[in-house]
Amino acid sequence: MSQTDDLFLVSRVILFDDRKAFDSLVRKYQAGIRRFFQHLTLGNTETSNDLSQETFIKAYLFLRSFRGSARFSTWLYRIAYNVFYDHKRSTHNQLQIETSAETELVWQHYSISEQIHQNIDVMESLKVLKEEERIAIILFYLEDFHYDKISDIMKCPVGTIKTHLHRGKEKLAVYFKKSGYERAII
Amino acid sequence: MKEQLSDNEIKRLFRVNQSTIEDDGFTETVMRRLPSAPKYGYIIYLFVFAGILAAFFIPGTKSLALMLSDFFISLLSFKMPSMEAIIVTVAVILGGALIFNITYEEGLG
Repeated sequence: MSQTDDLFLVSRVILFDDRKAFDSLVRKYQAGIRRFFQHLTLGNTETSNDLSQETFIKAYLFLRSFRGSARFSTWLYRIAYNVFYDHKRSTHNQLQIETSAETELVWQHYSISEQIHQNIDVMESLKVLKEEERIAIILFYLEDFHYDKISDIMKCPVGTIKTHLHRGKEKLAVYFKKSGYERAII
Repeated sequence: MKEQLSDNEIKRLFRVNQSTIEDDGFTETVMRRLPSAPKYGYIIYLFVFAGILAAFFIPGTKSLALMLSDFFISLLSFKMPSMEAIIVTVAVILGGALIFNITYEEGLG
């Protein structure tokens, strides 16, 4: 389904409150949004599903603010990004997300002898990143967004996004090396 | 020298163990939680119906209809519509958009 199809569905929802059209949009994007939250919450499925539902409900309520100049997916991920930060604020940062200060503790659990295999645990590797780096890495590598789209979603300059990605990649390289995955290091 | 990863290698590493997230009733749950349809949505249709009736019965609306038809017929035949027809058409479209916007916003609220 292309961007044009998305715009057509959005128009149907706005003009006629067409629930079937919105149903199609939810079906199309639910996997991506839920995966995005799962990575952000480092595997907390329950919270991910709650936040995903909230994202789609907000998207429905504010659909009239969507401008066709942006891609619908970018607009939706921007809402998801805001929902995540609203949730963080409301729960007083109680999400069990490791900060960079805790990075060394995480790495201590991964001796080379324990992790000599190529199936890297994505959630564990994301723990070594700062939150902004993690979001940029998830959007770039897992959700296939380009720099400018990530910049729209995170509302920060493209240069900052590139910095987050660069730092994230460096940390991941160290993590993968400590995990025994040498092939990734070039 | 700092270690670095290739973009493709990171993508491959991240995706190798990625499982597909099935819907599993997620969409139904979202659709159930959506707020009910705007209560005042019918106002839009009421205005449209009233407008059609007015076009038939109110004296003076005939000239309005003529202006609008002049505008669209001119466009279809690749001619420049008259200035009066352009002004009237733009006014009608803006007025309609304003009414639609106000009623829809009220409905959401």
